[in-house]
Amino acid sequence: MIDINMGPVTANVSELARELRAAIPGTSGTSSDTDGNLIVHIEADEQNTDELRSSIAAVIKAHDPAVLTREQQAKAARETAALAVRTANVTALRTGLEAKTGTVAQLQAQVAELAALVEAMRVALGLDEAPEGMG
Amino acid sequence: MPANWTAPRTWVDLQTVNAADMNEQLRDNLLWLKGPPGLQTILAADVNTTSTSFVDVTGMSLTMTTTGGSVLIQLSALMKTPLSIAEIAEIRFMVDGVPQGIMARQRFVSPGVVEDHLHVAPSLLYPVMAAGSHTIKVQWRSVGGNAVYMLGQSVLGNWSSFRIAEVGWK
Repeated sequence: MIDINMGPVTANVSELARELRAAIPGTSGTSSDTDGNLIVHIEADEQNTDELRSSIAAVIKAHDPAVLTREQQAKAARETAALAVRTANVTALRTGLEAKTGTVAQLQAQVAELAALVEAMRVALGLDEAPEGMG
Repeated sequence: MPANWTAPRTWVDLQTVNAADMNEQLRDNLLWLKGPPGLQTILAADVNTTSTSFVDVTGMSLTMTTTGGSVLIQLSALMKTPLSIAEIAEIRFMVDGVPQGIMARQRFVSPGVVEDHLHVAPSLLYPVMAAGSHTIKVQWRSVGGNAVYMLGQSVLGNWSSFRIAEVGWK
């Protein structure tokens, strides 16, 4: 294995490692050192170092630190859904449904709102994801 | 004065003992026993890895000259994963480039709004290390490829340290 020090890099390291593995065969991942340098670990011959360094630099240049990993995206979705559940006016929804005085269109809107609330609860609780080991 | 260990002699009747003998056999060996070879390093700053193959933990390598006893190898590390990242980290020790088997396997969940911070402290008594210079390292890997962190020195404390010491146990 060869280790290529790319200097200080601002990155979402989990996502950058995924991008490096996809772009450069043999990449096992990255490490940081105590100075904040990014070290890329690749199963490769020493002689290809310059070529590999160029390939790594291209991936780093294309990397957007703001892009989230799948897990981080799921977390953001859970937080948004939890906020929706927390701020939902459940009392008004229940009162509207129990009143039975609305038009069909109003009833459809209320049911849709209820369905959206249930969906938000499902996301907030992480029930939209496959159970561990079954994904 | 640095103390050197010298194998104790077998004494015989009427043997003449001079100052050099006493200094070597008593003074230096007692000094050595009081303070056998040992080293420690404290991780200076946070480090992380996403490597699915074992790689060195930067700054966790020690080279020590031993005298033929057993060597105690200890890591004390505070580790974490970023929020919402579930990951497993594995740790092993390397003695002169030879892996000593996986010494710790720790799962992190980091759900909700609090990161999992877990103390990982594997240790190994390496029996009878040949006298001479030896390099002992810590290696780690991320089983799933997400970032795992080892916390370094901060104003709050020395979160992760690595130490080796020659001990008399066999």
